Amino acid sequence: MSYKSSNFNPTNFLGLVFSLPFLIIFAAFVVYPLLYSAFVVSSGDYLSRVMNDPLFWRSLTNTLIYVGLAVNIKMFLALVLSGLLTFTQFRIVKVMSYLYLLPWAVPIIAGVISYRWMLQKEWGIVNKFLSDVGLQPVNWLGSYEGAMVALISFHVWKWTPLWTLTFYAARQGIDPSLYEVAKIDGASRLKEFLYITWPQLKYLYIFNTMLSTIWVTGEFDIPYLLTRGEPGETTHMLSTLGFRYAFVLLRIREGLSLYLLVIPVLLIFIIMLLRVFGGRR
Amino acid sequence: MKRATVIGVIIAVIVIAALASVFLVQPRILGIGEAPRPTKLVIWWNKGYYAEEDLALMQAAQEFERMKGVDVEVSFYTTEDIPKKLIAALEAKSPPDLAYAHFEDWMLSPRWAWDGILEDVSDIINENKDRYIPEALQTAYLYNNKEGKYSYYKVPIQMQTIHIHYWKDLVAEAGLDPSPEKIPKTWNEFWNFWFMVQDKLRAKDPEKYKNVYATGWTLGTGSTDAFYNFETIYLYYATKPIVTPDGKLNVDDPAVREALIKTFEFIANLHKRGYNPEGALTWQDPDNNVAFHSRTIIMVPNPTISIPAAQYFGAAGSRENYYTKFATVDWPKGPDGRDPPRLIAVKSLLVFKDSKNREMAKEFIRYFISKDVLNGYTKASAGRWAPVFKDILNEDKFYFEGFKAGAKAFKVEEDPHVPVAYNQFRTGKLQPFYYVYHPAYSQVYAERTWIVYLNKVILENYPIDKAVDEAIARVKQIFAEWK
Repeated sequence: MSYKSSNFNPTNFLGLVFSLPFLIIFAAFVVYPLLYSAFVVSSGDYLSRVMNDPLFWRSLTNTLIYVGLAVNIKMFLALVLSGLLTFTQFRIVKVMSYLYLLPWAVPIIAGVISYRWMLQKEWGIVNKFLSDVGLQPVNWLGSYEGAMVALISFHVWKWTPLWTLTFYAARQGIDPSLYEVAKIDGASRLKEFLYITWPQLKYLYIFNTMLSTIWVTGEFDIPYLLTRGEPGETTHMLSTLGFRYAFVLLRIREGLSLYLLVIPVLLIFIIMLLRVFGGRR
Repeated sequence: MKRATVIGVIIAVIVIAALASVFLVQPRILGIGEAPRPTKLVIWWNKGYYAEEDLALMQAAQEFERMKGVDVEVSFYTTEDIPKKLIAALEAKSPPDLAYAHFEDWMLSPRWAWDGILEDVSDIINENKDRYIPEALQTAYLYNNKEGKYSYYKVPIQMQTIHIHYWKDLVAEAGLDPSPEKIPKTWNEFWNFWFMVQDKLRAKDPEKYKNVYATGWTLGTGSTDAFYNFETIYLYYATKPIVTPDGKLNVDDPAVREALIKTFEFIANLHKRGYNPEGALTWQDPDNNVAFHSRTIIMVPNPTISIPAAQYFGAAGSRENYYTKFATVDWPKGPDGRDPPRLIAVKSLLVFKDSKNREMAKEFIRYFISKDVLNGYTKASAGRWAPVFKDILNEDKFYFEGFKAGAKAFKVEEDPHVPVAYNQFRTGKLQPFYYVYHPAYSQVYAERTWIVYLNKVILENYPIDKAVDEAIARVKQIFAEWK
């Protein structure tokens, strides 16, 4: 698109008009809350109070563990599973591909409640299974390690299908003749993946990973509904800690400060994301 | 169009829209414009446990509309949602005219009175002072740090304390006499009795009863029950209060530390000895109810009698449970043989200084707390809440007999729950939580400080004395911040 220096361009004007609803909503629900938060936070030493809270550092660590493991496990599984879904010559794959989307379709609240029941120490089905095979039951949600495993595994279960679909769609865009040529040349499946599939998917993989990192860093629903920081306030994430400050301890400015602290980190990811995305456009 | 012009227009639109939203949403933040004149009474109310409670409030609101010729708009929110709504509304300086939230007592009103956000309602209190149970009224007398004075900043309407329920048929299954009068009344014997029931059941049929526990002691840091239980046990071991009635933090007194250590020991041992479900470490408020209803615990301490009420109004067959299979008993005497005070949590109505229609809100409160209207509302909770007015608690037959009329159908004479529960409010001394003496303690409650450190003892085998000292240090820090 080129801009002429003086002439009125009706296309640009129309574009602006059509963008207005978005711009207004963006201003009211993103720009204004951010400015307001910055305004109220700047009126005190709330940031230092947050950073002096040991729970902040614990929550930051938990968030890094959660994001680091959940996002990467999920993306790796999605990449692998998207490959399995391409074996459409097998009927079982077709059936499984439909079933496989179910976790994504299940509402989070229903999924989390079921998961909590499944992991219940005394009568949960997971411990029942462990007991049946002669293993000791685990206090999943009653120990820090167990609760973190529960959080990460639920996230992976819930969101892997979505990312699998994106990889699956990308795989459909790869020219089949490349694989035919590779087959003629006697390439193994591994080599096909390394030299054809991966080069075509790697930018998408990076893009997905960064996008998911941004989303999961602020994820509130799964940690809040599944553990609520239990046991003993050990599994708080930054998102649930901010909520705790604002809506449990009535320290709304500390809550806002915490969320503002995260924004620069997320901005770095967003800029990187735009660069990757822009570079590939 | 020039590129710079387009970008300029976009930025201008964003800035104008952001400023417009400020003016529209929060005109008084910037001191611009006046809020429109109110045309109706806006009430935000905690959704009741039963539909009948909400209906009783709606009927009161409609009657008030008719009497005063005003519109009353009632919005119901869940227990978890209403504090958030109120916090956001106050931040936007647009609160309702009147609010009722179950968690206001420990979560909201001590801080809001301190910050000078709540309307002084002394006029309503003084008109009704003689009707109030004194300890319940005491909870409304809060400190306003902005104005440097104590006053009445809320209007109590109902209260709760902890009751104990147990499955009689499980006790009988263990070969023991399940009748309430046979439950031991002394401290050690009382607790050992429940441990014995668990032991006997498991000895009788290990497979069937391997997941049935003596007690259902909530330990989740997110629950209010855990803190309530803890403070109740503290009163049993205490010879000195954690906060004195004049608002002084008393944790440096060795007697307080000793009582805290004993409280930690009692609860941690109960759990670690295997007489409490391991999952109770993450229980939220409803989870002990669920465990009791599903008969995986033999006895349960629970604030309010929501458990019997759920059975009374529950599915077919549960009314038989209510009358014949489980019972409610009073607490035993303390370890030293005395009767400790009963810890009460009192729930109140709030009016805000920023409420647009404060006088009308007060008028509604006067109408709502009149004897018949409030009693109708309280009874609609099926005994879940107790009245704070003597003329209701001591005069209405329901609080003495409960659902006696239905008992005969199950070949019993009395309601085994409601009379026992309400008698707890009539016998012995009542005591409010310590946040009534100093609002900083409301943050101790909100942070569940004692429970967080108790969890460390249970989860990490942390030494109890060290955990208590660290918890005390945190409490001191909290109090130091409330200057």
